[in-house]
Amino acid sequence: MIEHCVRTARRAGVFKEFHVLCDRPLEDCECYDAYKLEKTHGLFKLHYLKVGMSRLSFDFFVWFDADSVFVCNPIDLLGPMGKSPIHVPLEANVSALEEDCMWKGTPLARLRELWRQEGVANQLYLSQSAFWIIHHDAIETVYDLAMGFWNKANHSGLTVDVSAALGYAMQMLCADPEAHLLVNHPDLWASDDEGDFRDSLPDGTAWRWRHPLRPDAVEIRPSIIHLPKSKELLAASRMPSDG
Amino acid sequence: MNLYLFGVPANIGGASTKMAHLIRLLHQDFKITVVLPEIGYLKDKQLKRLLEPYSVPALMLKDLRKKLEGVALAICNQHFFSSGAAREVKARGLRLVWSNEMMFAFQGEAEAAKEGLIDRVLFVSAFQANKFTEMYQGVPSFQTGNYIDPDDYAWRERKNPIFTLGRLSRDDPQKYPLDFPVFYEELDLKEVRYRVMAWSKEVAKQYRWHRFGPEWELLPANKEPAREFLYSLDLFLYPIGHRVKESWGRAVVEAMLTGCVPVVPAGHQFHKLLVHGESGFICQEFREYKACVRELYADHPFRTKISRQCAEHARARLCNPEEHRRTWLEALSF
Repeated sequence: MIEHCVRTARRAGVFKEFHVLCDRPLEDCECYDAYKLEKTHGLFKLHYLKVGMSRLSFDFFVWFDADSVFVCNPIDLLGPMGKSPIHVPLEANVSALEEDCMWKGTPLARLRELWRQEGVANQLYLSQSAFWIIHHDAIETVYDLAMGFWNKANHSGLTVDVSAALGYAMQMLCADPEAHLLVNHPDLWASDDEGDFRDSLPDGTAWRWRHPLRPDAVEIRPSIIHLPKSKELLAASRMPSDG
Repeated sequence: MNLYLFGVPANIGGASTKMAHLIRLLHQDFKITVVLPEIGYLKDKQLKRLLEPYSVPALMLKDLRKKLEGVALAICNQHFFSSGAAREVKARGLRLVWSNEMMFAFQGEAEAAKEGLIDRVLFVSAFQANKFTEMYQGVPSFQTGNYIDPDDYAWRERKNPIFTLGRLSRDDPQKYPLDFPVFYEELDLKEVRYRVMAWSKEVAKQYRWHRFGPEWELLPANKEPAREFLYSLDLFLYPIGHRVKESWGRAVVEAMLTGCVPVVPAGHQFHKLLVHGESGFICQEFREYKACVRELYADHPFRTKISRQCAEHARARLCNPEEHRRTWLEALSF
């Protein structure tokens, strides 16, 4: 899938380096052996951040999951960061949700309670871990915050996945969460959690995105689309590489 | 009655300033002696100038007579217990009154409380008292609040050519929120300066990911007297780290006295110090801070009105000398 993702990026005009965790050499990528990565709760993303990305000499790193595609070259990739050292697109305000529900296997009411207890003072937002941008010098801070939150949750009997932990770090470091809302950057990234592209891959036209916990949909046209419901389609896809 | 004040009164630093102001407040009610922690202070000219008008002598503990009558008062004195001073005070027959000021215990404090060395513990707020309930079980306590001599922080109208936001606190990284520079900069003010005291290497390390531009002035602790620093600000914007709970808020009250409008977080003791919207602002989340700061930034007459109200409120309600004098006489009488 990652080869397909990188090809879509190249075709869209992205010329930056791709650093990939993989089990075999991949064309046009910097590859890192990922044989022994522990994938439980998705924490490998944080560990990779700490032990891998921190050793590379770039100012900013952009993470995206392999099941993503580029439909065009993002115009202002770093713009959404504002003054913040991290940008994780914030998807849904859950501060005012009255009924409790499960989110990625975690009772949302307890997650909100723990975020508050650990210092998130603003409106509370759900986010994912499929796409994020981080300043190199904030890696240690983000890692410590996210893992600290994960451990705190774990000790209090709450199992959270990496997105809740990363979302915590994001909300502690961004000052103004509204500047990082996915809907405020409709041309950058979104995740097709509803499976709109289950049958055919996106072609760059606008579509209506909706968070699974929110009733309202908004029209967006993101450059990068996460396709968690299109894995078979992605695996089957054989886009010829340029050249 | 004799009052032995343990520490170094000064015009810089929270506890030292408090001691200096208490000397002014109480010098007619007590025969005050300052007991210094180090011999070097005996030659301190500033200290001498501060004590002379009130005929207060300064000595070392070893120079005090073996048997004494009166009260020993130690305020936020880091080594008071670990150095053995507390024990010597008791051996000389003095009543020991201790005021911690912080939300954490000093080395040896818990043991001293347990051992019965402390005759009375003073708290600056119910919030602080609550934090120490267990440690001070069975020890008589008294809530004194915090005295700041209002004459040292006269109101001053302000309108800097470039709007200046800032804060004053200890140089403890935990005093600063993790998003501190982002917090200030995301307010999106057109032309602005940021002045911060106190800054340190440890604090700077917390924000190594941030590039502080020329609009930032980051001063080490006590680089300027608090009053002068506060005069340089148009607004006192004080977001606090999520691991810290303020026991009172000395810098906030000093700011209010000078007319520097405080904008502070909810969840501490600030609602006891100011009336939201009248003598300062208490905000829960960033968008509230932003709305409030932008209004104060854009509307100078409004800012000046709140500034006057801040100072009047602090002067009348928080720093009334006669009220504080009565409180302290009660707190120090046995």
